[in-house]
Amino acid sequence: MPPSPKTPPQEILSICKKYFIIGCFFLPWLWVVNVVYMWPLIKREDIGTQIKKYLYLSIFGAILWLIILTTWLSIFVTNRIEWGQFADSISVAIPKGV
Amino acid sequence: MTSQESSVDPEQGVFVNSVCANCGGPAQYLCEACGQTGPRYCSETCQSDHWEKGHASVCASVPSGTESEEHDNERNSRALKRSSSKVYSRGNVAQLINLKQRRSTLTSNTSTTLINAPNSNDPSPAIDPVQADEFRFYMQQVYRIIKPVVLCIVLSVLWVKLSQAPSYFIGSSGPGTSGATGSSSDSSPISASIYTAAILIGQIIVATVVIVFLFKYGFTKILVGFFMFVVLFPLGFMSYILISNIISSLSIPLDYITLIFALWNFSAVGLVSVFWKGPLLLQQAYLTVMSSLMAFSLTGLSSWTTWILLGLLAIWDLIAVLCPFGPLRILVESSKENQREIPALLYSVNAVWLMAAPKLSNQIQPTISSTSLQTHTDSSPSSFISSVNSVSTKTSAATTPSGEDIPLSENLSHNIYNRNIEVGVHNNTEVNNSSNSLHTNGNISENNELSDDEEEDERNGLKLGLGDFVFYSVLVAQAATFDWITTIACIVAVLTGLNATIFLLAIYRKALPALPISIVFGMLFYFVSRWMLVPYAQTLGVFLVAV
Repeated sequence: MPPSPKTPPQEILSICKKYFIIGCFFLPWLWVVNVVYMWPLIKREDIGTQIKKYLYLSIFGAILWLIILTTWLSIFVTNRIEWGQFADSISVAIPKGV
Repeated sequence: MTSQESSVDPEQGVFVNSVCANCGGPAQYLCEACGQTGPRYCSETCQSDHWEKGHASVCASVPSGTESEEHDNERNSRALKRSSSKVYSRGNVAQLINLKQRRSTLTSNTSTTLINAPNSNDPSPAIDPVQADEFRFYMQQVYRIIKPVVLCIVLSVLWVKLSQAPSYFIGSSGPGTSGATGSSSDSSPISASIYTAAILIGQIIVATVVIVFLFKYGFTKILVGFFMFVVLFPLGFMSYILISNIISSLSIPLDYITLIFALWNFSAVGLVSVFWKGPLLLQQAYLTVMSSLMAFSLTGLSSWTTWILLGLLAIWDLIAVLCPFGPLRILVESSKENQREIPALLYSVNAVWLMAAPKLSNQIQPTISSTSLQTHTDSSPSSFISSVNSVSTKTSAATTPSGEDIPLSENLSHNIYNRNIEVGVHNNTEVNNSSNSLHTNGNISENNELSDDEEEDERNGLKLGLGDFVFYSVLVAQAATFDWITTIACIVAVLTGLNATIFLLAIYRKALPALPISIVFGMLFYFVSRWMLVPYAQTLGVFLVAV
């Protein structure tokens, strides 16, 4: 799935950079896509080491977001009942009987 | 013939013989059938001339008159196959067809001979390697287009079944569930259904005409913007509705924060991958999911409305694509003439490295010229394709009649584009040419190969409009609301229809409507299985239990 080898390296680098920047808007999924898409290109010399920097940043950011999300979700699911009113207001749908 | 005799000089190699039998100039090709002992030619025209001048009677491939006719037919059918594989390339359909024909005749006459010359192979009568290669390519293309269609259908069925699961929740069961349950009842009067269906199809027709008009007169920016907007709609809103339904049915405790975050991610990446550069696989996946979402939203219609709508759509598709005044045909032709890419929602099998911001193509580089493969032409926005869908959905959403919040625009766009089965790159219908070129570019860049790849790229993948995806899925999703038997029967019917349409594509070599055959089969299978198979199976089941 990597980009075509004929695309000029500057373009690839700029795309990687743009993916990273757009991903800063709360878009960890874009960072994941960035990493998966561009990972094989890390070995290409003509692109340079900058792409490595962006990819590492992306993957680090994605992992960070993953930790945040799972933490929040586990807190929410386990404490949903105790929180009462507040939890009901932010739930999408309230299971019956609970 | 002097040229022939002078050519028979194996010791000195090809160079001795390289005098054209027709014009006497330097020759690089030879007659495939005659091999090393045959005449040499410098070009296809000389070969054709020489054939008429007398080679027809002496050629090794023509032991009798009938055989030469078969050879011609075979050549023609090969040309046919090649061009038909690209049946509808939105930009350069004509060019593609011409190129293919030229290519096929050229290859059959010259390149194969060129390749075969050193080996002095006679073309085997059974399966020519070129022909076998073509078959293989074609089959591969068919496989690659059927995969996403099946995936889209399966996803739609999945959404329907999930939404129909018994609901344990208080509150938010969205229009999906109500639609699903409502659709099984035939209580709504038929006239109301007809009325609704007529309104829907009217909207679809209007949207099609508007889009064709916009394309033809070059308002591509508006189109692109429209499409973008339209893509966002199903990705965001529809996913929200679907997920709310699923959450309601499956009793998943989830909060709004996570949901909005997930939706935001999903939509944003979808937009990026469809309208801008991104991995091909991701783009195809997003288009498939989007189509299934749109189909799911359409299950909100009552069942009679859906069937009438599908029937009308099949008729409309036929008219729009085949009649000379049909808007879709005009779209194809205008993209051919103007060499502009059609920002359509097309699913291309061979999409390449996508397109960046739509550089609308007023510069469709014909792929045919293949020499000028330019990577930047690829930028044909796949987003166009998707955007078209999105655009269509949008328009429809705005105008949905009361009681149905089905984005008609989506349907519209889908209809528009889905009428055409095209061969070409996904990214742009318009870019067909560019996509082809894109494809070729991509392939060439990737493979650095010769004419083989280029040819393959040109023969490139089938293109199927996204509307086709949507309406196939609508049909199957509607069948899914009843029973598993009808579901499976309709899946088989739709796929059979698609295969038949692709087969016809190979024969007729032009853009064909993808909907009519499949819809007719699907409706037939649905009603037969609903009124005969299901009660039959149920009775048998009772029998088994009772005994």
